[in-house]
Amino acid sequence: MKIIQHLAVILAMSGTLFLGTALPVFAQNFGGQGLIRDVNKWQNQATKSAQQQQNELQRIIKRSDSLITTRLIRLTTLTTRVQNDSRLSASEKSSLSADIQTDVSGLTALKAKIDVDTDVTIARVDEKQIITGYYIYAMFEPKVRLLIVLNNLQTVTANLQALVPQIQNLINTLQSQGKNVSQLQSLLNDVSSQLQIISTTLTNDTNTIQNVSVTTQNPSATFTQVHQDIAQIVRSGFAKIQSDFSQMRPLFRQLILPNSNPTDTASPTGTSTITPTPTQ
Amino acid sequence: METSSEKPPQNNSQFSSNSLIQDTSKPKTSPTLLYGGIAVIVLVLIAIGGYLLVRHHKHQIASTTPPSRQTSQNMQNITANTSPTPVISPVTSANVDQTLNNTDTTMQQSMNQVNSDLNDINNIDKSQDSTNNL
Repeated sequence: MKIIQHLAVILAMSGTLFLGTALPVFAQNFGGQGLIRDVNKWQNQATKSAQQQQNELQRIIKRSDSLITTRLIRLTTLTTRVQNDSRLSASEKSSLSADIQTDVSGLTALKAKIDVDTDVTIARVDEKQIITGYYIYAMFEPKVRLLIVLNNLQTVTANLQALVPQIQNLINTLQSQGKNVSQLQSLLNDVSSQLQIISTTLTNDTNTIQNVSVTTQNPSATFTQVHQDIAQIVRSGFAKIQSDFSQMRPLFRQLILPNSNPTDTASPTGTSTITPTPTQ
Repeated sequence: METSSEKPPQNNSQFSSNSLIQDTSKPKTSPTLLYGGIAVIVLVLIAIGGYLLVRHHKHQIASTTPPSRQTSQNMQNITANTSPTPVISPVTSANVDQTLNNTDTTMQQSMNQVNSDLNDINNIDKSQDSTNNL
């Protein structure tokens, strides 16, 4: 009996040992191997996905840096254009330069943020912000350049408007001398009228352009309208004024030259032309 | 009070009479004449000094006035030779032709600049702000 019991224990232990060592072999051979393969596959896929995400993040950062750099170059060129303009006033230059500097600062800060982004989704949002937050090409640069044009035209218009009363004084003087100034007066009236139209157009267009922002729907339509105003109203107005001046010049010569005596050179306001006193 | 009692008036009169006697013994130079002479000399010197002073002053005025006039004249000449060019000179018969000509040139230059600027605006590549490829 004892021998039988010993044999039974030995058999049980041997069986347990057999099962412990043989089961994994069975598992590999009968389905477990697929499970391990799947786990390994998932692990590989996760690693590959993480690597892809990292690569995509680097691509976004690189592309964003490029987008920002090209925009900063445009803004620097724009600043130079503003500073070198000969007709813009100091305040106009200051205002436009400040607007440009705001965008430069914003884009520089955005670049710093994107460079340390660790999440692809956030980096994509930031990258989009480079465009939608500034619209340098579609909105900002055309806006600033149009404001430069409009400010310059306003300066020229203001100078011409200051000239009109002086020409009027001369016409009055000639009229007081019995000269026929009706043609001159008519031409000068046309000059004044054209200047008034130009001035009003420029003021309205300037206000319109200043209100354009990144939230403006279809700013191109606004820019096109201002282009048309400049081409059709302002340019044609200046052309008419040039034509008026070209007609006035021979009329003035005709009225002045035959009676070119010293008293004729005196302006009606009493501020005569400054002529050098002969040296004694 | 005690001093007057100690020195009787008689002694003073005697002393003075003695001094007169002593002056008469010296050479005859009358003090009145001496002081008078000195006074006359001083007056003459003052008069001469005053005369010279007035004469010198007149000469100085006479000699400084002409150069002053000359300087003024020179300044007028300088002003006249360098004709000032005010920023906005009045339009007169003398300069109206040139003024209109210059204004015409300025307008043409401005329009040329405007055309150049508008071309620059047209040449901006707005597709750079497209978000399609992002």
